[in-house]
Amino acid sequence: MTSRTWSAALRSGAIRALLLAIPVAVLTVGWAAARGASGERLAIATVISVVLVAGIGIFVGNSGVESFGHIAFAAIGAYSVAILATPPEIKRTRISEAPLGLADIRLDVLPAALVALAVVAIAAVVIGFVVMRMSGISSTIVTLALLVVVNGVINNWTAVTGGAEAFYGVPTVVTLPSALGVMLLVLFVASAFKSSPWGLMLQASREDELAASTMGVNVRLLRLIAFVISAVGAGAGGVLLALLLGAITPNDFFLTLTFITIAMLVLGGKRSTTGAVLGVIVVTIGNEIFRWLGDGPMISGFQLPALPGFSTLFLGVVIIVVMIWRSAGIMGDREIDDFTKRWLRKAQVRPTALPGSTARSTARLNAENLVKHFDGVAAVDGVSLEVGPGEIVGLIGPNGAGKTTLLNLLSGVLQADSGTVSINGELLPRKLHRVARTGLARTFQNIRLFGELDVSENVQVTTIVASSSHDHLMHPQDLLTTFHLESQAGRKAGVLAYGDQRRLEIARAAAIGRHFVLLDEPVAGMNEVESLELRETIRELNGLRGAGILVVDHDLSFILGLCQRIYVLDAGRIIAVGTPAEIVSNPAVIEAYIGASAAQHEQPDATRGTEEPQPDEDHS
Amino acid sequence: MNEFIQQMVNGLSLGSTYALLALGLAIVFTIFGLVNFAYGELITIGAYTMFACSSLGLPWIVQALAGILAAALASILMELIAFRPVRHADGTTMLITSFGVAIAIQAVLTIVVSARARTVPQPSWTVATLSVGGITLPAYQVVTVLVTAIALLAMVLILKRTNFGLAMRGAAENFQTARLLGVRANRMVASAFLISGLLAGIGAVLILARTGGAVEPTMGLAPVLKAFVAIVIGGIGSLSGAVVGGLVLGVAEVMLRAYLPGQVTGLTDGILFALVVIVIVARPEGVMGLKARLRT
Repeated sequence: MTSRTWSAALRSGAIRALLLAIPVAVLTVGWAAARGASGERLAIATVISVVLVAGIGIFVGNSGVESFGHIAFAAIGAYSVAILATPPEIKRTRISEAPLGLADIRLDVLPAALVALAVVAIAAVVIGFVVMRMSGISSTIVTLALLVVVNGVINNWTAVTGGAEAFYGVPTVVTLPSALGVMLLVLFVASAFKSSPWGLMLQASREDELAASTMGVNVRLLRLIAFVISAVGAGAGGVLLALLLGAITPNDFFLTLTFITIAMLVLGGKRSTTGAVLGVIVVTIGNEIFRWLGDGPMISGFQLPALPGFSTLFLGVVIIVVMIWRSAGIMGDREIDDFTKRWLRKAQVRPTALPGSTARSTARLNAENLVKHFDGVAAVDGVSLEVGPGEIVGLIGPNGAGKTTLLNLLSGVLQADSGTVSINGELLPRKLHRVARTGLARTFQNIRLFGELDVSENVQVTTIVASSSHDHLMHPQDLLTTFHLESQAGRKAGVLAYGDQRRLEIARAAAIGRHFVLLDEPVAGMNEVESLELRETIRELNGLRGAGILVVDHDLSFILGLCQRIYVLDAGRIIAVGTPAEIVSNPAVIEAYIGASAAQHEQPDATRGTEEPQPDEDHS
Repeated sequence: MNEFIQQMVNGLSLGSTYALLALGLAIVFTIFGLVNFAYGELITIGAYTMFACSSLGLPWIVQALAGILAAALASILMELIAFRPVRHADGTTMLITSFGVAIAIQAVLTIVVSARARTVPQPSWTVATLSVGGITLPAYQVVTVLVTAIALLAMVLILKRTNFGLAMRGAAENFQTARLLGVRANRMVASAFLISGLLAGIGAVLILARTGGAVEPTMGLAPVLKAFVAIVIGGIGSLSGAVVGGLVLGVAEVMLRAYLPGQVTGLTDGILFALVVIVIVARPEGVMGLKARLRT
């Protein structure tokens, strides 16, 4: 079980960055020593590749949104530092007409580099603001458009960039040690971000965006933060590249570099910082071999033909093969410290729970006259209901009665056409991620866990959100114990048994559902023993802090045995409300739920048994 | 006024090419869930096939037909070799695979032909002009609009009037359900790639008529990017949205180029994309207001 706290993230980030930097340093310094000046150039270029790829990975790996546009930020960084750091004597021959006196500016390399990174950050905020508003594929296309636009601007804005021809005279000050220094910093940031609470929440949104939002994760904001950090990382790579090459052209930061960095990223594994390093090393070696072959070398007396494009073919084939063979890359989610853990004992940092009040919840959930239409059909048609403090309320009704729609309205996933949902008189916030922060959480009919995260991390997503929004914290480990999941803490949520998945989803909701937990068909697909167990779990949840609970289910006996009060929904309207005893004897309920014919022939009490006809389950 | 009409026709001609290409991308996306980055390379393959045929001295019409067929064949092969193995993977994995395919095809063309641009001589009608009621129009623009209209009409007829089209539309709505109802998945996917490749091939012929026949290994990038943007405008996952998105994009591009001040015409694409982004931020589901169906 790994704790996602900032102090633990900084610690493990530092350890991981050092573990990764040491082999890279040994390899590159050794290569430079063996091959002289040209060897040193390749060594520095390799280190810069690590900066680029680890930088890109901060966004792509954690958010799961692919980007083909990060090299645009490298271009912005490179051209910014080139324009600022190149001596005016050289600049006046190329860009004498640049505005703002850019041609006359003389800055030292370090301040120039810092200003360049600031320019990259500003550009990333503007672009990120747009990209974050789109769904996955659209935002990927926008990043590609960004690459083309930035390349077009650099090519055409001749007065400032010098256009398509080389911008030369950039001070070539990058040495292997300085490049390694920057790489160590970027590796640290990437590793620490991945292990941090922000990284965890972003990874949760990568696994399931809707579930993350309903658990209170502000997905857009976190994507923006990661996008900007990641862009600055790529920008740092661009700055270094400009200061290595001395002369740059727009096409140095276009398709070829994009191809190479993507091949490196996917080969090693997008989600792993270790993978970034591994991908860079393997692709660099392969690329050099194929470039050498493509140049038409003499091999034991035979002159091979020159084949320009050979190394590019290698990159393309690497990408296809990796995607087919192992789309998560060589490393997948793993990191170098997973292997070294055995002898580098990691101290467990147990996050301290804030001293919250132990008072039971006094909140009251009210829905007034909720209406929701889909294409003219009223799915929910004027529903009012109430869940009092600590109450366990059931919601039943036949298929298509509007139960799940109602739950979506109550949890903020859908907005009602009219009517209100309020907690203690305060309207539910319109932004989905704010709803959870009011202390209302839910589960889903079709189970939406963060599959690639482990059990403990699934729960930590909500304990982290809870710690920033209200004062009643539960320790993740205590939650797992309460829900009998402590033995599974380190396993990936996606591989758990069905019953454990249901319990984990409830535990996850419980962490933030201080006042209310809404459960959508929690016993769907369970046998009788499992559903009895789950009934006890829900009672424990209710007893824990007095959270009000609303259970939607088809399983009449389950609802009757659990709930104090039951609403019956039919065709979008509440047709009955009352205690279990009142509900089973209500003729309107029997007619709607079992059918009129059954009501004529059977005693009302029969519904209490386990053999009553069950409506089909509407799994989506 | 006359100039405006000329620009409009030019915009419609460019836009209809984009519409054709966007439709080819959208068909594969709706059936297969793949945003095919290597679609640009189908255009490239069509164009290089024309180049090869012209080197052999074959007549233009043969070149054009060979180019279209080659693009269609390449599309089917692409699916068989590269995309079928990642069929059940997520959208991102498929997208990156297609990216790798694109790189590999560009590299092969660089190795086999050259990295430098070559020219396919274009027939004389492509530079001819037509006079209609005092307005002079380049013939290739009129031909482009007509060819696209015929291709789109054929698509509509196939989709709306044949059993095959019905199956295809069903599969586009919900692939799994269509399979359960007996639609043969492999055949449906292959058909989608076939149609996609045919449209890319027609696109290649029209693009060469417009550009005077220049071919190079990276020529597919610009049109595929425009087609991407067109389907984003129209709402990803919608076939009619792709066509409308393409037309809107083409007209907007030509109008910007025509009426922007001279010193910023080099930034047309930048301004165009910026406008598109603003529109999409306002209407994330696409300007058509059609619901995007995204496989996640």
